[in-house]
Amino acid sequence: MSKKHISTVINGDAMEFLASPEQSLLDILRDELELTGSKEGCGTGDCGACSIMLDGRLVCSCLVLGVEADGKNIDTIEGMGNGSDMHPLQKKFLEHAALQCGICTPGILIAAKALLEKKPDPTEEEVRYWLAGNLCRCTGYDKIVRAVLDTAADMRAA
Amino acid sequence: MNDMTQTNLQKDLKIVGTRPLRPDGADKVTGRALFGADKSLPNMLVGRVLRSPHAHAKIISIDTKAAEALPGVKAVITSKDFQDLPSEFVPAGEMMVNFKDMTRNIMAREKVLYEGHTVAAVAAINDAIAEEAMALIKVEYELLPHVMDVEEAEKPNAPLLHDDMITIGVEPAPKKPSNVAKRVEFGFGDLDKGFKEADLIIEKKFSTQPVHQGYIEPHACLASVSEDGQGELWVTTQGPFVVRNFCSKILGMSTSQIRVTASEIGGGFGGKTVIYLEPLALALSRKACRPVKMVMSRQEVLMASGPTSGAKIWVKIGVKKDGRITAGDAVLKFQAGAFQGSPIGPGAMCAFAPYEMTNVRVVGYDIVVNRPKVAAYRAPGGPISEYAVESVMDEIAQKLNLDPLELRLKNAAKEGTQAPYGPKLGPIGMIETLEAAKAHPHYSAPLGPNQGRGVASGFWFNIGGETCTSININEDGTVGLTLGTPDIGGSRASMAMMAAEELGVPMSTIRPIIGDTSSLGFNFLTGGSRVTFSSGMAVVESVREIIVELRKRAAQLWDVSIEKVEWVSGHARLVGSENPKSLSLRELAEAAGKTGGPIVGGASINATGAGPSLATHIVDVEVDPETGRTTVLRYTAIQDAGKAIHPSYVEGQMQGGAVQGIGWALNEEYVYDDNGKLLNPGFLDYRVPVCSDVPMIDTVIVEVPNPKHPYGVRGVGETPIVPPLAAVSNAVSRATNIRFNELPLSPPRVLAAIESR
Amino acid sequence: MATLIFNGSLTQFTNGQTECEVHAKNIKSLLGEIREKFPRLSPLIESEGFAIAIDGEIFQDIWFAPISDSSEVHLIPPIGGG
Ligand code: FES
Ligand code: FES
Repeated sequence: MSKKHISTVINGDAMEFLASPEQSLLDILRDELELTGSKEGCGTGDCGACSIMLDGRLVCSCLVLGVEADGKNIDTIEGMGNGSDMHPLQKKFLEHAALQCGICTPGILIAAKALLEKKPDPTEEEVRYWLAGNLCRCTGYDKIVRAVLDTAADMRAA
Repeated sequence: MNDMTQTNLQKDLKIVGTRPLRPDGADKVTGRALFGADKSLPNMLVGRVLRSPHAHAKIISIDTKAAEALPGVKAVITSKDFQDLPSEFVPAGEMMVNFKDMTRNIMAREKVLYEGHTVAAVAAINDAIAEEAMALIKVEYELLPHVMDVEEAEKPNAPLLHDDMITIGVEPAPKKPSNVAKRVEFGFGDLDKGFKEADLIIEKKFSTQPVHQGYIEPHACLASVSEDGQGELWVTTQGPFVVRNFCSKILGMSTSQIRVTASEIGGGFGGKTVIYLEPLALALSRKACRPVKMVMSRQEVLMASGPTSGAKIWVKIGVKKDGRITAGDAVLKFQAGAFQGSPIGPGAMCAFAPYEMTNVRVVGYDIVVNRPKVAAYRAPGGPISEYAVESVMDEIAQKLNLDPLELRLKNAAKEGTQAPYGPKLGPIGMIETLEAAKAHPHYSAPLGPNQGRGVASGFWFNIGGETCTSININEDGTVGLTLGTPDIGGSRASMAMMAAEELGVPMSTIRPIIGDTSSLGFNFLTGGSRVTFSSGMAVVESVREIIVELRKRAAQLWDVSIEKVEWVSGHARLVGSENPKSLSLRELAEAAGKTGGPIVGGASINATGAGPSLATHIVDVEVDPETGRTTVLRYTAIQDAGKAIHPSYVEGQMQGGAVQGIGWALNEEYVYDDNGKLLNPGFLDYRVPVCSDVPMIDTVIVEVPNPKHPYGVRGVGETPIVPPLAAVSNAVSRATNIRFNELPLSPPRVLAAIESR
Repeated sequence: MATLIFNGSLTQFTNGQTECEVHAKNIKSLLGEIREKFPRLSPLIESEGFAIAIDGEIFQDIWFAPISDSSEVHLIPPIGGG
């Protein structure tokens, strides 16, 4: 089947690619654009490791087709912050040791950021339900939840 | 042998025991860290695996011609591409491996033994073509009856998986083959006498389901065999050296022909200590003369990579009225999966290990069934056997009206106790964790209706093993530290901390990296809670060696003997001089060229002296009598770490293990249909705990130092998954007033029990 | 002379003997001595391998760990981990 030409803005930069109709956006990001920060844990929408923002909406990029991204704005972990200018969540995750292996971390950071943008003052329960689509097998979630709550508190104070 | 007698247990520590940021952290929170599936090479092919749709069948023929003819297909492999290997046990690191089994597990030969068993693999220019090629491979099977359950499999008329399997460990050896691969037995004392002395005897059967390690990163690797036959492998693994050795044996390549580089690893928990895709990718690359990348789907991970054993367990314990155990007896039957090798030995050794036993016996059977071959999973075997014993202990406490912690305290193993598997235990922290549990506010907090509190303890040995590291003092006085054990949860941090502590320099000047298999000598894998212990020991030894060298260089510069130079806080100092001379690490490093060349060191050890780690967990649950659903309300994990080098990562191990144990206790199970086909090969139905399933996991680190480690480390990763199964089950039993003896305690099972109460 | 103790099912291979005196001064010579005294244990040593506990400390595949005259020595299965 022939590929379609897709134009998007990814992490603020205009980017174009060719997508075959069945290719997921996650595959495009990882295999075609070499943005491997988004991870594939399941490919079926159950683990959240591939979480990205699509036009400001939190989605599992494994469930979105590459062709659906045409004309849209995509934010991935690669655009969240860098070593010299980290997002407060990234800093707090390090401080709280909220990652062990780190494979779930990009997806969880993207999801947590989306939560704090929507709800700067979440309760523990709200954080837990919001992140219920992001599996972490290493940490037991404790330090992740604490890092998110602590970031929220800091950002409100700032 | 390593002599680590010079310990730092008493010393004031500046870095060890603090919570610095991990050296690899920034890469991991920004998405830059490269995991198994994140690397690509020019001209790379995609490798895919054709798997058996049947649980048990003879392979009559495989026809790959049509697949090979498909444009875009560059290589197809079957068992014909691998030499057969004889049935012999070969030491591989600390394991004995039977390569006859291993080569059959990575690629089926005469038979397929479980659904998902590999029968062929394809390398093509893209995924779609590889997929098409797999559909063109014709495999003719002759179906055989299959067997999934240990008690069915041990029956004399059960379908045989291996017609040459004679039970090991039985004298005289059985004449006829069976599915029972091995029998083990441990114990001492006089059981009859012990049970006669008892005022109360409880005897019960239990069953647990196999559960998957559930690492979020599927198996993945990238292989490239060059035109002159040199293999390079990038792979997510707990043991790059072990992978190298396994692959070289299976592929008939020499060890030096394969260089393995461990990627960042997205969880392992024991499941990434074995090989699946790696030899296939290398074989495909060798045949296609191009790099080949292979990544498992989640479905493949669940269908064909190692869960831990499901089991049937029988336990009988006798006690006096005051709670003192008079005898303990247990029989364990572990699923091995399609090939022998369940963790039956350690499982049996652990069963009663938290207790001082006078009359004890544990018999274990390793039984093959038509399921994927089990792989290690955190404290392999321990959670299963200890679940059963700890459940009976709770029932005893209830029947005797004793506090469950007091009952355990009365029987707790301590230094000098003869372990049920024979030897006497060194210093261990069983009593300390129980006392800490008793004193914890959680233990005395009130409970509401339909709520119950469970406690359970757990034991795991921990291991040492072959380890080496190297260390370089760079020209500016910073330090390069090369480790051979992949960092699965923050070990680069703890290694850098120990190195910095020893050397007396800031941690930021140490750069720890994980070396590939050509940069260091053999290292056994990351597992068995051995990294902070063994690699830590090797790091300490290499730093001490470097310090001697640094003192030598300073002595040369000052024209004194080395005894006159001491090493204090990152400086060489002239001993006892009026006008104190000192040289910093940086100054010595800058002068290295003039004083004899680069300052390098390293250590190579086979670490011994690992100390068991004990834990006690407390959990509160609420069971909804309408639905049977269990909610975990509060959880406290208490564990003896020996010494916590980086307490945050020790807590993390305890919390992660506890939640994996909660999943094992409440939800996780494989569902197979009558044909032996897995019905839930995805995270939607194979339900690991999600964030909203669990509360905060409170932790208490107890420190009973291990005298054999320079900082007292025991190793913490394994033990925390041991207590939760029984702790949760005991809590549910107390909340409902029904003793449960099967896992998982999924809502339908609990509801059925409530309704038939 | 050190004392070697057989636990559980191993006694099947030692004619029921639960302990014996050994001259070995390290694990390598101990394994040789065991093969000689209890030939029926040999196949187990080849197939499964054993770890050796000397006075409670477990040694896996470490041939030259010393055994003293007062040592208590146990054969146990090798232990791995997750
Ligand atoms: S990979 Fe998309 S949700 Fe798991
Ligand atoms: S840190 Fe490993 S899965 Fe979350």
